[in-house]
Amino acid sequence: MAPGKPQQQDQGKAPQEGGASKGKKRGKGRRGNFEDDYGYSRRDQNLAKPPDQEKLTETQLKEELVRNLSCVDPAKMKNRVVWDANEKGFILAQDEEQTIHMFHLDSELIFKDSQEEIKEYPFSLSEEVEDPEFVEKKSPPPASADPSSSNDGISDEQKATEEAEDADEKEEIAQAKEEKPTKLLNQFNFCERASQTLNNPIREHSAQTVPPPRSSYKDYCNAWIIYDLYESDTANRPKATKKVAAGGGGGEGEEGEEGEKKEGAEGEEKKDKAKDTKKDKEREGKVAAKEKVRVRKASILEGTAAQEAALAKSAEGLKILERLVMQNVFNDVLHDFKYYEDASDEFRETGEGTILPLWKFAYDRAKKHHVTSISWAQSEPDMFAVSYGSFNFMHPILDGMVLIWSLRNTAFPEHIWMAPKGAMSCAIHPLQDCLVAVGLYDGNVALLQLRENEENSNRSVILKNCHIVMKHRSPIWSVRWADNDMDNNPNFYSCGMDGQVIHWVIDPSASGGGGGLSGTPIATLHLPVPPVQGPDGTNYNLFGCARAMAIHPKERSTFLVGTAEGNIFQCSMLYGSRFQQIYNAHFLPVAALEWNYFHPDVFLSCSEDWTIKVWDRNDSEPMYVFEIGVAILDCAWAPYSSTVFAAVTEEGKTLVYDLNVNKEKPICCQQVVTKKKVRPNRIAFNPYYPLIVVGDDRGQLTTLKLSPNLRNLPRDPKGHIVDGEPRVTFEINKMTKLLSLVRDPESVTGPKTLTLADEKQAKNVLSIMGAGKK
Amino acid sequence: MSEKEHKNSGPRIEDLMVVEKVESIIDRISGHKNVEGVIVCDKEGAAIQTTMDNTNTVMYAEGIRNAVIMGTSMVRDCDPTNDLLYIRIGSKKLEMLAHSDPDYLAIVIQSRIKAAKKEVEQNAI
Repeated sequence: MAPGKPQQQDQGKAPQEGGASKGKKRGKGRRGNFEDDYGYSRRDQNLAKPPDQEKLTETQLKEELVRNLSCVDPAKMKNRVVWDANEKGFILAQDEEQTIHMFHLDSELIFKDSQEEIKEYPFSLSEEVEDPEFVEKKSPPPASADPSSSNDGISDEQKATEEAEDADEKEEIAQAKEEKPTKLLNQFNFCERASQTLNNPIREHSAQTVPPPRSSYKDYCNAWIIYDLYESDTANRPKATKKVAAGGGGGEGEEGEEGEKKEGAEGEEKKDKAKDTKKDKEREGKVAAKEKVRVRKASILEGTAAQEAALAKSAEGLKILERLVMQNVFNDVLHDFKYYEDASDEFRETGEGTILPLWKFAYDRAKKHHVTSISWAQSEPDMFAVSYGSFNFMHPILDGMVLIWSLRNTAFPEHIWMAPKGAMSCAIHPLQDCLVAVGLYDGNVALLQLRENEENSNRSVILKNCHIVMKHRSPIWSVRWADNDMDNNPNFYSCGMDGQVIHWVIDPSASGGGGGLSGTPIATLHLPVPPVQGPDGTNYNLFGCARAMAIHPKERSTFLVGTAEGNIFQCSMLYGSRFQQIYNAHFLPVAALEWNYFHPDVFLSCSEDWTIKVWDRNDSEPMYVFEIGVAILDCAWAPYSSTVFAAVTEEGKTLVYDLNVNKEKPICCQQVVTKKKVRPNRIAFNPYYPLIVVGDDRGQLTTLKLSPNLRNLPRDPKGHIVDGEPRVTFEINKMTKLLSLVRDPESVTGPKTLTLADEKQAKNVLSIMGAGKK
Repeated sequence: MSEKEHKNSGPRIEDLMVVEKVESIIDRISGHKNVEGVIVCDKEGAAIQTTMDNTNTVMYAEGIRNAVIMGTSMVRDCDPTNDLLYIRIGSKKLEMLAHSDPDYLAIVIQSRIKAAKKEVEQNAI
């Protein structure tokens, strides 16, 4: 046979194989040339030996070691037992087969001379006997057997090729009988010449590591969530560093920022560990079923408790919502308050104005109480405190209350303090709004703490004077805050019907009970009359019953006290035994006293003897006297002008005077109560808005807006409102000018007053008032 | 464990007092003019206290809660240090006021028929 025969045979087979894979062909080629697949490279390779491999000599290597093979697996365990949970005991395990299948492959090769080969390739038998090669069997059973078998899953294309092959084969057979097999062609007249290059062996080195633990995590994230996390992280950081410091012997804590970061990371690790330990604990806990039940119970309770806590917390939010609701309900009033200006004021030549009623404040439980005092907060423009008690000494109402109202919620007070006795006076601290001093009917003082703190979780009272020794022996008619003392402790003064003026200092170090308040009597208001002889012959010094008090806004040591006898005492905190001045002001109790906000020497007083008087403190006679013809119950200077003041009369009218405009008549006189029998008791100006509030003896408060004419503010030539220091000087000058107008004729004709200097007249007034009261 | 149990054995008396106070506030608000209902719900939107019927409570609580969440998101996107406190939704018929807090959500529904009534009155005159 020709030496090229096997190759030719191969090439001849190639078309026969048709769709068989390339790999097979390559394998065949290799088999022709090389002994084994990887032989060529192995020869060049230096085998790597492990360093600890035992070295054997040649003889040792050649020594034969006999190994017996047996069909029984010696490594297999005999008498293996397994635990049976049903039987609750060990039972003998059934032995399995002893055979181990090491390798199994369904071969597609057939022997050349075998019967199968003859079956498969009957035609090639005679020619190719000498070929030592294996003939590859077609992987699908021969398609040539039945060309029509289209159901074999072979694609049409393949079929076509196979048909062509069949045709070729037939020709081939015919030719083969005549001559030796020649080069076979496929239908494309394609001749395959295979050439084998050296293939680099495929090597695979792989190392398997323990895969890192994985977990999937999903969350929503945006800028503020990140911010929150950072915040909580910084909040937790100090703790983490402490832990680390404790864990790492304290050495790590002294590093810089980087150290901190590290510590943060370590802290996180620790957290993770902590979590793990927690989980472990949970697992342990879950083993015990009883504990499980307990945990569940606790969580249910937590749920309801959380809801209740949320509900309790919602009080603040609901309060604000109530304000919003009120804003909607009284929307028109609010607009009036903010924007309505009486347009008719511009056309009034006399400079008169009007007041516009806005909200009304009423509290159900205070319907029968009198409004005894009103105090606006100086720093919160909408907050004021009102004390409720009784002025009716024939039928006194025993209890009282202090309500803190806000303009934002007219339906219900912000704070309520039910006093054990009638509250006769109250005052909000000018700087610390949360402090409200209250004077009670029984002579006690109370201090309300409105701000929430640790001791005072429900925002009520409380420091109260419990010292029997120090308390007033009769109703406290007035309380006024003074400036904080040297230790910055808030302190206030109270004056009562017993003629005492007591100075109260709040000591923050002493708390609870009445210990926080310490009182010192400052002055006793002795009347400038000789001692009166008592029934048993002893002499008594008469003292005045204080009814009103005013502390000078600038010289804080000077204060005025008005008495029920009609005197006004000008005293000093510094020496209590003497009075700087005693004014014989009124014939009936002084109802109200107030220093002017701008002029340091001017103050205002009013009384039920029908008069309002404007005083210069250097003069024993009043500068201006206004006789109204009806009892005046309260009066107050306007905070925005030195010449404007307002008063309320027994008839229910509110009078507003501007001395700069009219020195004799009020520029506004308006009825403020709707019912005839209702007497307005108190009037107070809001320090920020053109607003006055009037309280009456039915516990009702009415807020009134002043029209533009009643609150003329100084303007510079350009029309801008003057403010600051120039305004103060302007106001002072305005008042000084007014005073000088009155003073000038004094040297000639005496003060221009309408005083009822005659005692007879006074007696008449007294009798009239007495009759009126009865 | 025992401490916890002790703590959770029931609401504290102080809390109860505050709860009463809150209930009184809710009563008061619902008594105001044009107020349709007051709802206090927890952070999940489950009503704790309500003056409305069940359907409306669930509807408003869920709706306003979503609005509050969106509002909070908007406010905090602009400035993470900021937070939403109140929203006030004005609609043709109603005004919905809500106060949002991490722990609770308080809602007041108020009708706005007042303006319409006024018009009717004016027409009548």
